[in-house]
Amino acid sequence: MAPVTPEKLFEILTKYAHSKGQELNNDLEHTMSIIRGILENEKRNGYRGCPCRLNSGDRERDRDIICPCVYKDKDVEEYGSCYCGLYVSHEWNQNPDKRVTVPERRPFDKLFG
Amino acid sequence: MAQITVYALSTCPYCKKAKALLKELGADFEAIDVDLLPKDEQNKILETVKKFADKCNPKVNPGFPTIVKGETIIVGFNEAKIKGLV
Repeated sequence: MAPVTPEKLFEILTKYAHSKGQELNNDLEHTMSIIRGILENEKRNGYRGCPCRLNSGDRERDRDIICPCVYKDKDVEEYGSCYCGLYVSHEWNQNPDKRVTVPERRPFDKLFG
Repeated sequence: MAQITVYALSTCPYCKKAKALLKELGADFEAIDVDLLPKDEQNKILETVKKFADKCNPKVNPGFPTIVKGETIIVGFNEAKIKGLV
């Protein structure tokens, strides 16, 4: 099966975000960069790990950071954006001046391989 | 040795932005893409990144990019803070 293109994954994730009452970041350059990062991680490790976190190469260990990560909804609710800025709220997309750096929720000890 | 060290991931857009901004500002920096290193080196650098995160006030969870210049540490992409560093 041919690997999915960044453009196709963008389409799929846009639909998914809308189904959750969220949006993709309207900064297309940033969003496509994240999507390319996800696909690079898939090529390296066989799963679509978050590109803003160090992937271990072990799917089970990284289950919590396979995109969409388990921290996404809490982050969007609290900060308007997920950790890597792919999934955001409508308000976040409309108000660039209110954006903050989203702190990491993932426990640090999960990082060591 | 460069004045500024950036601990980064090659796949991370915020890390790319931080490196691009430092380059634009003409900063003397070196960037380490941690995900491209062998596992044992990754673990050593993770310990270092954690030490830096623990030094932050308030303390933060470690993450990428981590940008270090002397005693000043920035965890995450923050344009204003990076500009203030150079």
